[in-house]
Amino acid sequence: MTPQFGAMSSVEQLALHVGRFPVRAAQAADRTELTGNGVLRIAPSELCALVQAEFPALHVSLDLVHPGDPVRIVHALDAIEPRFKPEAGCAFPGWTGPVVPAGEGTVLALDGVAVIVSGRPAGAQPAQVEMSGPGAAYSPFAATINVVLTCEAPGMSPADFDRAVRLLGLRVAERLGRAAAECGRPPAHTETFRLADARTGQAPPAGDLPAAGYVLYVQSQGLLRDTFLYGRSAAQLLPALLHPNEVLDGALVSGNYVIGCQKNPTYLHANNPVVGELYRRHGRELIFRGVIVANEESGFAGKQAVARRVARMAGLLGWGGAVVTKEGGGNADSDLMLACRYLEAMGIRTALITNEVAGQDGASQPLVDFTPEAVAMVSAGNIDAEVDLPPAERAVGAGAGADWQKAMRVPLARLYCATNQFGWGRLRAVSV
Amino acid sequence: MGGPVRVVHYLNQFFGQIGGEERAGVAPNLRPGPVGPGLALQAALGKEATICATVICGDNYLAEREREALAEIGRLVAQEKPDVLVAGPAFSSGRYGMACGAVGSFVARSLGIPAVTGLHPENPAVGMYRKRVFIVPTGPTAAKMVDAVRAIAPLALRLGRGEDPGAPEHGGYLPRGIRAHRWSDRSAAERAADLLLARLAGAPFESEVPLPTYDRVPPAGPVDPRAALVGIVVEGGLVPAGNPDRLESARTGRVGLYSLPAGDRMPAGQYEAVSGGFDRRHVGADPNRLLPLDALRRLQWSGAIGRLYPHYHTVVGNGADTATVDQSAREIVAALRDAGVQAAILTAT
Amino acid sequence: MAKELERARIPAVLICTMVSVARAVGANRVVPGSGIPHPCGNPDLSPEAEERARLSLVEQAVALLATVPEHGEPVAETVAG
Repeated sequence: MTPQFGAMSSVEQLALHVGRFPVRAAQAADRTELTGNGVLRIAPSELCALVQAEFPALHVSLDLVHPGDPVRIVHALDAIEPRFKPEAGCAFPGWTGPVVPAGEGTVLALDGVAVIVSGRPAGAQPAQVEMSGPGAAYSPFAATINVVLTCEAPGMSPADFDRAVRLLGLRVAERLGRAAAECGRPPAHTETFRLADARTGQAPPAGDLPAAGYVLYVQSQGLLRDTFLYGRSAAQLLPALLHPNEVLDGALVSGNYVIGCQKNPTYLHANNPVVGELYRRHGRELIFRGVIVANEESGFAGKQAVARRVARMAGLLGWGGAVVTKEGGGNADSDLMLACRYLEAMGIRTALITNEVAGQDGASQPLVDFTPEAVAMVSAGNIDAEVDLPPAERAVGAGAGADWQKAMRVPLARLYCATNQFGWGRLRAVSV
Repeated sequence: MGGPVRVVHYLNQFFGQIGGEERAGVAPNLRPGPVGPGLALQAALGKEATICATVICGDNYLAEREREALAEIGRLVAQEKPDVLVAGPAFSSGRYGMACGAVGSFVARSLGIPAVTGLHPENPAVGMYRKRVFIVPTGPTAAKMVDAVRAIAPLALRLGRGEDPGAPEHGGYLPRGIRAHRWSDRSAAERAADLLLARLAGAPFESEVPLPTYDRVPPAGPVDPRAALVGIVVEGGLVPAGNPDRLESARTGRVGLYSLPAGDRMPAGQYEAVSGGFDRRHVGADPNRLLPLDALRRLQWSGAIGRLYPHYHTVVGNGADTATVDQSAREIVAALRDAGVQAAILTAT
Repeated sequence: MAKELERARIPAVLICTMVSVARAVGANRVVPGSGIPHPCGNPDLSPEAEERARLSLVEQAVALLATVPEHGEPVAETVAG
């Protein structure tokens, strides 16, 4: 389908309509479709073959897992919300279609469903989702119906495997999203994201509302810890200014497979909670003035250079304040702190979201790096705290077997998205 | 589980009624039942607890021979099988405060018996021991002894019964700076937006993560590297290919010790980095990128370095908390010291 | 680690990319490394250039052992890359 480029909207008028189709159950079937009563029927053979032409050596199997199932999903790599754009563009520009700026038009989403890609590339840290029991509270995907794609490819190069599983996950997600477009019914509800006021069609009067923005650090430091903007690795990215709608419309895709609790999967990029919060307050308590995407460089000089550019860009945009988030920990703490320091030096007030490494007993220093300007931080929890998990009746995913069904005591680090630093969760640490 | 809570009380030579400064060198000893201020403590505890014994030790004895003193005190405490240890209160007293902290911390860690003491908030022992011992804030001097034991007693009872002491402000003790999980009623993203708006409005706000404080150590040396035995430590888990000792890829306290190869560089393909914290292919292709042996050998031959210690230690830093890191560090330092290493080069990812 | 060595009176120099972390934890002698995955190397350079850069890096580290540093001040940035 050729993308249609009509007149370009003004920045304020740019509107993204997210139409949601609630799904109450998923089942294997002969055809992939969304029924009238919210059942997602899935043809496994169709979905598992979606990268077969390019990567014939990839073995894929599919499992359906529902909230409350006595199941442990293991070796999660990425999670993706099923989405489809019925008009111009595609759900994941640069991956499932050409690079067209995202953030405009209608995107349809299957609400309450996630595609979870599972695999064991060497060097990835095991990440698990508890679908029931005490561990369920720690992951957003305990509450979604999960289409788990288990991927194995003995002998495939790491770079090929990485690309294969990403492409598979995104294609499956878009194929499932297409079921919504084909079901012949409108979405149950549609949320519209637009910086202009819905009633007046004008930008909200600034008055004395402060201008604020969001600095979104992504991690692109090589294989297994990469993030993609419009299909391109963010490795050489200089800080980029995005309309918030672009973040909500598939511009960012995750390729980051280390330390499970700290992950920013593709699902949470497209449903970024900070973007959601700033939009909610836009025009009432602040004026939301954009998202700066920056890379967590692996050299210190690079980190400093990026942080300075971020601060300059934010200054040029007239921001009075910024929420700053990161992905990962350890060396990523330095990016967060450098950005904080340079933004504050520019007169821009910051609020940071970070998880902590306070040790199993909570008695170690919570942060690896810090700067005295970091006076406003939100805690996403201590990744070292341990959680007791009861046995699971079934384990699903790459390498799932009897070993994974046992009761276990694991550091929070293993629970997928448990300390998510986009701020999805309600887990925090306090000093006692 | 019935019966009164069993308490052991720790006192110094003065409050233990042995003597003043001239008796500060007295070795640990045990008296049955409460002694001195223990009587006021027993009154405050009432029938719910019994001070079954009092352990007394001279402040100087403990300061000068800490390891022996703690071992002996631990032995005396253990044989009484208490549910909780109360030390002091020591108010503003420096040495006595440190002693109470050291004893409480030792008993908590080695015997698993909760410990509580009373200190003036500015007592330097507070900073050192707040995480290991529950510290009830007191006035500056023993003139407030009765108030102090009345504040200590309820916390001692809760701890002795194995109950949750509660948050510091409810439990009546100084915040320990230990991070514990809670579930908020709002997401972190909501709280971040709230925090930002509060700052922008100039309204009061509170950070959820305290900024760390680190102690600084004055630099050692200098040494003349041309005459020194230089040791190498690598963070990143550099191990012989195949990881024969199965060093874990993250968050381990284990230390690897391997020989430096005899040649003039780290040979490609024979070593690997096991830390999961970074992209390991570059080190796999050329391990000199993590352990710069080629450069070190050249400096050795040119005389810029005296001698290279023929082994290297390696740890995996990825995701390890500071307590684990400190423990491996102490292990490595002890080994290097024993080997006579005079200077160290550390590489980290 | 560096701090524990210094505490035991063994001067230590840390070659590390995360200079601000090293300083934050109180390492006294720090030389900036060439990148997190390769602190003592740079795969973007030719092998000869990389070896020269590495030698220079290690020379700076050894030189720091002979000095009494200000708190964790890193040496000036090493060869580009």
